[in-house]
Amino acid sequence: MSSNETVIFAQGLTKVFKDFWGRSKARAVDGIDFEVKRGEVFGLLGPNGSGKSTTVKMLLGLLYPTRGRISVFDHSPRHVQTKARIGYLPEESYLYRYLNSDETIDFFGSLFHVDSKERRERAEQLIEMVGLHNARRRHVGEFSKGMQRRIGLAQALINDPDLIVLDEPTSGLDPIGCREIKDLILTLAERGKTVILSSHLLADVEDVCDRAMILYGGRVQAMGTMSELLANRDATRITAPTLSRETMDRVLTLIREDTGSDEVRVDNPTQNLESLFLNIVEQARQEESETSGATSGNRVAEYLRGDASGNRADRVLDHLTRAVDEATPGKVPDAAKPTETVDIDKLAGLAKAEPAQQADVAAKKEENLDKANEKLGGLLGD
Amino acid sequence: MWPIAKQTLKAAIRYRFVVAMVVALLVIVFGIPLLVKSDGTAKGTVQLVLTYTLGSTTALLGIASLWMGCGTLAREIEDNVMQMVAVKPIARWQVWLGKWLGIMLLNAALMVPTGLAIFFLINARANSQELNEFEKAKLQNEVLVSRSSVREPERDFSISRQRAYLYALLVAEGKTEYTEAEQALRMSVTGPEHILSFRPDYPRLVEQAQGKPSDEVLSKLEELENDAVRISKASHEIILPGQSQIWEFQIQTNIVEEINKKPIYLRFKFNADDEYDPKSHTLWFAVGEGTNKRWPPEGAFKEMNRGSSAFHEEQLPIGIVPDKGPQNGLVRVHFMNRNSERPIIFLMEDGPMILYHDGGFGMNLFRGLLIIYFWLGLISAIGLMASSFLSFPVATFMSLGILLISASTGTLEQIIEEGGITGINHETGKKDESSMLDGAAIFFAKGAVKITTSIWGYSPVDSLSDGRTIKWSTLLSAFVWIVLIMSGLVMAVGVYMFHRKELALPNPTASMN
Repeated sequence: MSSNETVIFAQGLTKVFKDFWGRSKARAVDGIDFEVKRGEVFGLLGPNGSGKSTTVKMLLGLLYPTRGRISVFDHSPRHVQTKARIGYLPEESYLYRYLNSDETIDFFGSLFHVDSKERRERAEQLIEMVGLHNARRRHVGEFSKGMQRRIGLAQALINDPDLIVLDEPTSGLDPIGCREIKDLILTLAERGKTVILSSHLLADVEDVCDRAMILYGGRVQAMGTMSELLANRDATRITAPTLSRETMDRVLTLIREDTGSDEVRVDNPTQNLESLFLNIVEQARQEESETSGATSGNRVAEYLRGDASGNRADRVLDHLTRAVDEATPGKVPDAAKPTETVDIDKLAGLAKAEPAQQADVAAKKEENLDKANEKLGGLLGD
Repeated sequence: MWPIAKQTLKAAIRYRFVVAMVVALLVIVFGIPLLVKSDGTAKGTVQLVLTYTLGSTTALLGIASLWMGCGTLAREIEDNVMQMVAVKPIARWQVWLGKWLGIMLLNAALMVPTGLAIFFLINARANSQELNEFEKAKLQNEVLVSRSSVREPERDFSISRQRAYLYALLVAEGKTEYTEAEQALRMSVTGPEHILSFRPDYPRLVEQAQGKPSDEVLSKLEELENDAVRISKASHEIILPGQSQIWEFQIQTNIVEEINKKPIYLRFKFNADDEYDPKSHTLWFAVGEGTNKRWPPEGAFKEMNRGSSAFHEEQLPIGIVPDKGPQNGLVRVHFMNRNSERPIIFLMEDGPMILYHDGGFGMNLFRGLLIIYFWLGLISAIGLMASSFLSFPVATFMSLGILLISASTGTLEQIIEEGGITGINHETGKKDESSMLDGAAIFFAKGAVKITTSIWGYSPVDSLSDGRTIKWSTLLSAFVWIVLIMSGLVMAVGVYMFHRKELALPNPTASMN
C-alpha cells in the first residue's frame, strides 16, 4: 500500500544532549539518514539508548536536531498544521491522571478542532475499540499500565491521523492487547496510513513492519525491508504437509545429492506461544468468562476502518504472507538474490509424482487460512 | 486555547485546589471582622474590616495565582504530559495563553463569591441594629459610598532659564511702566522664576553659563534654581502664624445641582513641627467666601481641633456649592492660622480636596476588585513565565523573589538614597565613593521602584475604605498598564522561552540547543 509520497525525510540527523554549561553529554543520534513513504509500516529497532526515542521525538518536534534536517509531510516537525495529521503514542502514559477515559479523548480531540458531536462519536468508538468501555468513568490515574496504554492509543487515533508514531506500543500490554495493536497497525497501513513503530521487541517489528531501521549508538546499523533484513541467504526452508516416510527419504536423498552436504534437518513446525495463548483466550471468551479489566475482541473504530473495513481479515492475512511474495526472486534486489542450492525442476518432478498429496496440501492450506481468518476476524470485530 | 484553559480550570477543581481556596477565603472574609480591633466607631471598624479583608484576599489570591502559574506549566512539562499537548495542532503560544486564561478563570471564579460576600457582610454590618442613626448615616455617607474628589489645579513650578533671565533683568531695571511684551513676560513667569529675580547674581550666572561654562558656574546655577523651586513650593505649603491660605476647587457646573443634594466633604491633612509627637491643633476654616452660602454663616471661621499627620474629613453643609453666576461650581476654602507660634503645613501631595458623592459602594467595590484581578493577571503571568524555562520549585522561588522585591520598595528606596549598597559613611549616611556595583544597584533599584510603584500605585484598598471613587478612567489606565503592557511583556518573555523549550529533554539539567 506504500506510495512514492515521502512522509518523513531525515538527512544527517544528529542530536547531542548538552549540560547546563553547554558541554556535550551524550550523542544520542549521530548523522542518520532515512526516508519513510506513505503507507509504510516502518520499524525503529534498537536496544535501550540506541536513539530510537530521540529520533521519534525529533520527528514530533519535541526535541530539536543539533545538526541535520528532518521534515514531516514536507514541513518542519514544529509546523502546527502538520501536527493535525499525526497521532502519537508515547512510550509511557503521559496523560492527565484526573481525567476519565471520555474526558481524555474529548480533550485531545478538541485540540484537533474536531467538533463536539464528532468527538463524542469517535470517543465512543475508540473506547469500545481499546476495550475500556467498562472503565470509561474511571480516572486514568487509577488505570493499570496496560489500560493506560490502551487509552493512550485511543487518543493517538482521535484525529484519524495520516502518520501514526507508536513508541513501544505493546509495552505493558497482555498478549491479547499486543496482538490487537499489531492488527490495528496493519489495518491502518491498509488504509494508506504511515506507521512508525519504535520498539526493542523484535517480534513486534517483525510481525507488522514493511521496513525497519536498526539503530545502535545513535547510528544506523542496518535498514531495509523485513525480508531483506531477515532472509538467511545460506539456507533454504521447504514447508509441506506431513510427508510419508518414503517421500521424505526420496526428498532428502535428492537434496543431499544436489547439495553434497549432510546438513539437512527435518522437523515438525510448531506454532508460536502467542498463537497458542490467543487460541486459549479465544476459547475462554467464547465461554463468556467475565473480567473487570480491559476486554478484547472489539471492533476497530468505524472512522478508522474507512474503506478497508470490508474484508479486513483477508488483507491482514495477505500482509502476513506478503513476506513470502517479497522473497520471490522477482522482488528481491539482484544483489541480495540468494544462490539456489536445490534443483527446482527435481522438486517439481517430485511434486508431480504425488498428485493426491498435492490436492491434500491445497485443501489443508485453505482450511488453515479459513481458521486464521476466523480468528483475526474475531479479534478485529468483523 | 479554550480547551487548554478549561483543562487548567478542571485540574484546579479535581485536585481540590478550589475547595481549599474557597475555605481559606471564607475564613478571611468571615474571620477578620471577628478579630479586628478598631477605634470603637462604626466607621473605623468598617474601614479596618475592608482594608484587612481586601488586603488578605489579595495576598491569598496572589500567592495562589503564583502557585498555579508555576505549577500548571512546570509540572506538566516535568510529568511529560505537555509532550502530548505539544504534538497536537496547537501553537506553543496558544498553550501558554490558554494556561493563563485558565488561571484567570479560576481567579474570577474565586473573586466573584468573595466580592459578593464582602459586599453583603459590610452592608449587613452598616445596617446592624446595634448602630444608631448617626453612625449609620456616617457610614453611608463616608464609607459605603463612591465619592469623587476635586483638587486645585496643579501649580507650575518649572523654570525656563531664558524667561527667568529676562524677567530678572526687567526687575533689575526697576521700571514702573511696561511695554506690551514686558507685561506679557511679567504675567507668564512662574513662582520660582519670580523668586530668582530677587537673586542679583542670577543673570550673571546665566550669562556665564552660555558658551563653555565651568562646572562651578553650572553647579551654582542649579543650586539657585533648586532653591527657588523649594522656596516657591514652601510658600504655598507653609502657613505661618497670622497668615492665611485660600484654595479654590472648581466643580463641573453640569453636576453642581446633583452634588448639592448630598453633603460634600473637605478632606485635608496637615503637619506641624511635632512630627515625632503628633498632637491636636486648632484650625480655622471658612468655606464659600464671597457667596451667599458661606460656612460658617455668621462670617466667622469654623474652629476645630484636629491631630496632625493624619487625614481628616469635614462634612460641609448640603447645597454649599454655588450653582449660578460667575462662581458657579467654585468652592473657595479659606484657612487661617491663628496660632501664636506654630506654622501649619499643608503638603501639596496631601493637599486639601473636596469630596462629593457620585455613586454607590457596590460599583466602586467592583472596580476595585477588577484592579486586584489585573494584579492577579500579572502575578500569574510571572509564575507562568518562570515555569516556561525553570523547574517547578525553582520557578516558584524565582517568582516569589520577584514579588518580595516588588513589596520591599522601602529597602530599594534606601539604596537609592544612600547612593549604593557598599561602604556607607555612617556620619553622612551616604557613600563617599561609588563603585560599579553601586551604580548597578542604583540602576536596578530605580527601575524596580519605578515599575512596582506604578503597579501597586493603583491600589484600590485605601480608596474603598475611604469611600473614594475609583474612576473608570483609572480602571482603564490600570488595565492598559498592568495587563496590556506589564503582563504583555512578561507573556512575551514566557512565550518565547516556552517556544524554545525542548519538551522531551531526558533530564531537567540538560540545556537547550
